[in-house]
Amino acid sequence: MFEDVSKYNITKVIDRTLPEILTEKRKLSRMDIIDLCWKLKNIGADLIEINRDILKILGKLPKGITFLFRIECDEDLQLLKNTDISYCISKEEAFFNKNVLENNRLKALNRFIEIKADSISELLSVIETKGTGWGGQIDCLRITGLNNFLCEDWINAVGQVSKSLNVKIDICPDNHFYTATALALEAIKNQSDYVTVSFAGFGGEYGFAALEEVMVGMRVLLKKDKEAKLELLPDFSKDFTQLTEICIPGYKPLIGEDIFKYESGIHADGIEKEPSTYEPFEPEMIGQKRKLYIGKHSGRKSIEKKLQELSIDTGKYDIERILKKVRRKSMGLRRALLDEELKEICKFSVMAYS
Amino acid sequence: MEAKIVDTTLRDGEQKAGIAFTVNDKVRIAKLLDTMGVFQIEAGIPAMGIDEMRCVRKILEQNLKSRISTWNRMNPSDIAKSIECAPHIIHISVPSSDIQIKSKLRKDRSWVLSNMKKCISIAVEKGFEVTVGMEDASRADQAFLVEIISAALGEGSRRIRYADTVGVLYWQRAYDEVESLINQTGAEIEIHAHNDFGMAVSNSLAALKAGAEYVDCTVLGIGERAGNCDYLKFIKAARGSMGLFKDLDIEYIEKIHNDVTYMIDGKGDKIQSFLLG
Repeated sequence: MFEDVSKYNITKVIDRTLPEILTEKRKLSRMDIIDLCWKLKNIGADLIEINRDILKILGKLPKGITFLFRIECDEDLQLLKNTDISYCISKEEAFFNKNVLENNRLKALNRFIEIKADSISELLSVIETKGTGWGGQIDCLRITGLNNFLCEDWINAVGQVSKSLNVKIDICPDNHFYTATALALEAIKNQSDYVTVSFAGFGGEYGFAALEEVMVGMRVLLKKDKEAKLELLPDFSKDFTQLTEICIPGYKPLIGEDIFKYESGIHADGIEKEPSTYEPFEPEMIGQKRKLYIGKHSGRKSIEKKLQELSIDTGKYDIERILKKVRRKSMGLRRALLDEELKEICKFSVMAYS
Repeated sequence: MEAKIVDTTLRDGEQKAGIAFTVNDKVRIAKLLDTMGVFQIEAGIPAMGIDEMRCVRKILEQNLKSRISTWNRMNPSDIAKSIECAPHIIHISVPSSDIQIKSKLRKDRSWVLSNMKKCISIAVEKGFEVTVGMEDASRADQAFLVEIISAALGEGSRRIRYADTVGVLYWQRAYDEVESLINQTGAEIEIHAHNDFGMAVSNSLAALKAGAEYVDCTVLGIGERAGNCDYLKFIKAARGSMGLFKDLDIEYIEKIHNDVTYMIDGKGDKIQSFLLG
C-alpha cells in the first residue's frame, strides 16, 4: 500500500504499553519504566510511546531508546523542550493550535497526527477534508479504529491517503472485532511505515494489536525478521502481571503458560515423531518448553513417553491397563493427572509375569 | 450470506491439555450449545472407547435441534465405532500436508487419497452424511487439496473442512485459499481456525467473506495450544462487521457461555443454570 514511501524497509513497530499501564492509575518507578523500555526494545519495538506522566517520572531520558511523545496540551511543549525526543504525536485538534504550530522545537520533529476511521469511506474523506490544510505540516498519519477494515479494498484506500497527503502511515487498529493483529500484520505485509501495538493488546476501550502476536507473526508468517529477542516474552509477561495485577490466561496466544502443553494421543504421537506436525514453531523461540500431560485423551504412546520421563521401566507395566485407569481417574477428577497420581496407578498395574 | 456454526468444544475443545469432561458434563454442554443455536455439535471421538461412545449416544438421545457429528481418523475401525453410535454426521479427518503425511502417517499422497475414498464409502454406504476435514490444509499444496476435495465429492461427501491446524493462516491467505478452492471445486467449505497467532476470529471472517458456509468454534476458544475460534467473539465480530447473526440474543448467549465456562473449569456439579436446574 505504501510502496512509494518505504519500499525496502521493514515496518517500524511502535509500542504503547507504558501509557496504557499508567492510564489505569498504576504506579511505575523510573527504574520500572527504564527496565520495561529496554525489554520492549529487545522484544522488537522500534519506538516507545510515552506521555507527560511517563516523561515526568523519567526526567532524564535513557540513551539508546527512541521515544514517541504524545502532545495533548501546552504543558507538554514545555516538557519537550529539554529532551532529545525526535518523534511526537497528537490528535488533530491538539496539533493545529497556534502554540503547537508555531513551536520551533516541534518543527524539527517527526510529527504524527492521530485520526480515527472505522470505515473506508470515513478514511477516504480525509483526503477531501484535510488534503490542503495539512500540507507539509505532518510527517505521518496514525489511523486508529479500523473496525470495519478487513476487506480487499482497505490496503488500496490507505495507500491512496498516503499518496494524496504525502504522509507516512501508522496503522493502530483497535480490537473491537478481534481483528487488530490481523490488520497490523496485513499492514506490515503491505509495507506500512509503522504499526502501533501494545503488550498483550492491553489498553484502550477494546484493546490493540498484541505486540507479541505481531512480532512472532512477522517472523514466522511473513518471514520479516527484526531479529527480536522473542525468548524474552515470558520475562516481560511476568513484569506485566506484577505491575498490572492482570493474569495472562493460560491459552493466550504466544504468552500463555499452557500453549505448549499437550495431552491427546494423536497430538502426542505426532509431536513425538516430528514436533512441527502439531506446532507452528519450536517453543524455545518464545522462551517456552513443551510439556506432556497425562489424562482422558492420552494414548498408549503418551503413557510410555511419560513413564520414560519419570525414569520408570515401561516393560514392567501393563500399559493398556494403566491407560484405562488414567482415563477413568482423569474424568473423575475433571483434569489431567499429576505425576504422583500416575505413579500410584502404575503400582497396581504391574504385568502379570513380572 | 449465511453462516452455520459447527461447535467443537466437546471434541477439539476438550483436547486442550488438562480438560476432562465427564459423560454428564458433555451431555449438559451439548444441551446448552443447542440453546445457543449452533447448527452442529461435534460430540466426540468414538474410537476413544466405550465411555466416549456412551456419551455420543446419550447426546443423540436428547433429540436436540443441533446436528450431532463424530470425529474420526481416516481409519475403517474408527468409522465402524462411529457407525455404531449412529450420529447424524460422520466427520473423517484427512492429513493433507506433506509434513503430516510423511512425518505422522509415514505414507504418501496416493495412499491418502485411496484410503480416504475407502473410509468415505464405508460410511456413505451405510447411509451416513460424511464431511471430510483436510487436516493441516494451510501448510498443504493447494493442488493436492483440490485432488482431495474432488475425490471426496466423488465419493458422496459435500462439505469439506479446511483446517488451519497450527494456526498459520492470515487474513489475505485465508481469503484467497478458500475462494480459490470454492472456485475450483464447488465444494461447501467449513473453516476450522486455530488461534496460535491470535487470528482465529479474523481468519474465520476472511473465509466466510470468501464463501465458506460453516465456521468451527469452541466456547471460550478452548482447544489445543492457544485454542480455536471463540464462539462468542466470532458471533460478535460477524454481527458487528458483516451484519450476521442479528437474530441471536447475545446477552442470553453470554449467560450460557458462563455456564459452560464453569464446566470447563471443572465445576460442573456446582452449576445452577436456569436451563439445567
